[in-house]
Amino acid sequence: MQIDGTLRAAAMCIAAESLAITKVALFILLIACINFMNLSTARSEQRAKEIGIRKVAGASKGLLIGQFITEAFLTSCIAAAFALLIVQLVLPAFNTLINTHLSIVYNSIYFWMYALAFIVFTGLLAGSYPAFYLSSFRPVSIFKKQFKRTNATISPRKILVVLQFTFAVILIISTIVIRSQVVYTQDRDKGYSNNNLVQVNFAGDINKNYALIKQDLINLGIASSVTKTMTDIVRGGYHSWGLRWPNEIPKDTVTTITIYSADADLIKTTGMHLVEGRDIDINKYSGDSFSVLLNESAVKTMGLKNPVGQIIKNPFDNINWLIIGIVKDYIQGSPYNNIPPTVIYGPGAWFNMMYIKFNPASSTANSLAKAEQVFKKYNPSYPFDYKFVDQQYAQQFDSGQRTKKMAGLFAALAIFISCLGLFGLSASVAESRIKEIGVRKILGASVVSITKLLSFDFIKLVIVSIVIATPAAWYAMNRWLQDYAYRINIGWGIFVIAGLLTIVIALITVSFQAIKAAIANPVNNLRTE
Amino acid sequence: MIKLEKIFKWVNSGGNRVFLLKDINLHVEEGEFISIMGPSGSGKSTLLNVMGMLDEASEGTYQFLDQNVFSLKEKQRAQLYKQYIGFVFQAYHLIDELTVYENIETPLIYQNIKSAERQAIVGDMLDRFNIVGKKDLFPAQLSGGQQQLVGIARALVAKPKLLLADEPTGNLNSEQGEKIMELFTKINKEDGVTIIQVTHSEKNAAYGKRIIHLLDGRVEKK
Repeated sequence: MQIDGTLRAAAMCIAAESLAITKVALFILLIACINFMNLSTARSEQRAKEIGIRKVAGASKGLLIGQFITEAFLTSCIAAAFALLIVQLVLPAFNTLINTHLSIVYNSIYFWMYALAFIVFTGLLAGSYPAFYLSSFRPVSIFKKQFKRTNATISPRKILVVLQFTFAVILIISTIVIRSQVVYTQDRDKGYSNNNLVQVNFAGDINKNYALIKQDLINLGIASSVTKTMTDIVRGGYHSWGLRWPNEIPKDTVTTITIYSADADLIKTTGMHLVEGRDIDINKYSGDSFSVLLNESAVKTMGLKNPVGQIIKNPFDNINWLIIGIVKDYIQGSPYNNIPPTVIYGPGAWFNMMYIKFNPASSTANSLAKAEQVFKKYNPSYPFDYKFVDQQYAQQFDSGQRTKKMAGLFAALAIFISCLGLFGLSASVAESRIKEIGVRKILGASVVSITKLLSFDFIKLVIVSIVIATPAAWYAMNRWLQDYAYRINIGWGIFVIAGLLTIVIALITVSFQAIKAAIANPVNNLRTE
Repeated sequence: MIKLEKIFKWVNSGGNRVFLLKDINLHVEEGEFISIMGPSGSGKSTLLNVMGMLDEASEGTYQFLDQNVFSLKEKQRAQLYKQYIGFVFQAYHLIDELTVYENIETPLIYQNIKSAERQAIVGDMLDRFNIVGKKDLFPAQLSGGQQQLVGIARALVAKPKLLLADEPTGNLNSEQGEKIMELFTKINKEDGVTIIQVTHSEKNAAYGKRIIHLLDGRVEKK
């Protein structure tokens, strides 16, 4: 049941993840399509003459639209071939990165149908706007050189660039938020110490020979401390309700409390922090079978003042449990969740596993080898099976790490493709303004002032993108964070960093072309034909 | 004002040196009005560009107001021509996206003159050239003669000592050309601006006090 539930949750998680990935991938495809649209319309000045001549020669608008869309299809087909090759090459690296086993199913008809559909879709998406734009030129104005670049405040090209960068900035902000969230949780105080701590599940004779095993482990100097518990301390105990405590209110009877039982030396072995009272010690106090430890959350939930010495009751088995100590909250279950109120019973109940804190004085390999001997001796029919608690704890971050890596990859791709477009666009703008730049230089403009002039138009668009992306990303990431009880607050610093990062990257991209245009000798560009 | 000595300029084309200027020696005094004439490809524009510091010679020395131009750094040279030289082009080279007013204002912006002061200077210039009514028009809305008028106004707005004009009347009809030449004469006489113009037309060249003939990159001796 438990395993089945976990598997189903994992499967749902992966399904949600792949849906999110698909969405982001579509956005990145859109960014690339925008590049195609912008660059083909920006190059239109060079193609204007061809279009004019074709029109004069009798080509209809429909025919020209067909021609341009076909060109886009061809580009899309070639791109698909390259994409397939690249995917084949980087798939192993990608699989290692996110720890999966993806492969291309070449023999599936569906794969090829999807691929074809995508090629057509991409071709249409990227090719339609340029096709309509280019085919609408009027031959007379082309030949009269009335062909002018528009300098409108809002043009389709500017809107597309803003759209591109908005996506890129959203992805950058998301990456920073995801990263901060994962790092923040990794840095969270666990409340116990899990290094050199090994968990051994009871199998065969371990339960029966527990006392002997413990004695040997300690006497041989392998372990500094040993304890046994009912459940995994990383995952947490079972959840129950109905415990009764002093001064409870009626709804408290249905408050869920996490419960598990432990033997002596729990605190010593796991390195939990005792806030008040003492550890369970059945060897010293025989009554400790019915003693309990509470964590701070439990004390808070129960509203107990001076909890040590008070009694809580379990109405089902009618046992009075004496509170003997309070431990500091420690992380159980997902480190992203709140710490549940927990009651740790004394050794009155049953046990399923033991925890061994290896002696820090000797190496882990050495301790393991020696411990194996001990277990072989007392439990000869089973192999020595153990888990490191710190590794188990780290596994809780697997999905977070994967999300972090993917988001980083996507953000890098988005900003790279956007800048690629910006690079081409700035080159074409610099070219179309080459005469103006020459004149300005002769009138005394410095390289810096021309670089500014050319770059600022683009940077303005990037700033608009940041302004649009900020609230959108804030909303999306806030929703994402709602899934985590232990979460960061999205501070304005994240937006400042993302914004500055984007501006700097865009500036480097644009200024490359701008500087190139600005340092060119004006005489060469002003020659009268 | 200008002393060119033993100026050579060549470009390498397929292993051969092609000379654009050969052994040019030229002295220009302040207040002169010089016309440079010669067939296409004789090096007129190249010579003008060298004098305007837009181009460097391969050999020789160039003194402008007692400064050795070729030994100056790029920045200092830019400072020098920004301050003392105005350019007029055959194709006017006005900035299409700016109005007449803004076109004339541009050199002042690059000399870091304050906004209020710029307004006064440009206003003066518009007055002098009788184009106040056209100040908000764009170059494309003007005739060729008017555009060249704006071009000259722009060249003079920063009060240069030297005006270099590369075929200023080349794109104009003879009537418009005459007007421009009369304007040049006036500027030369009244403001003492030194003018060097390149021209194809004997008639326009005659407005200059001295005519220099170039042939194959060499000054023809008369």
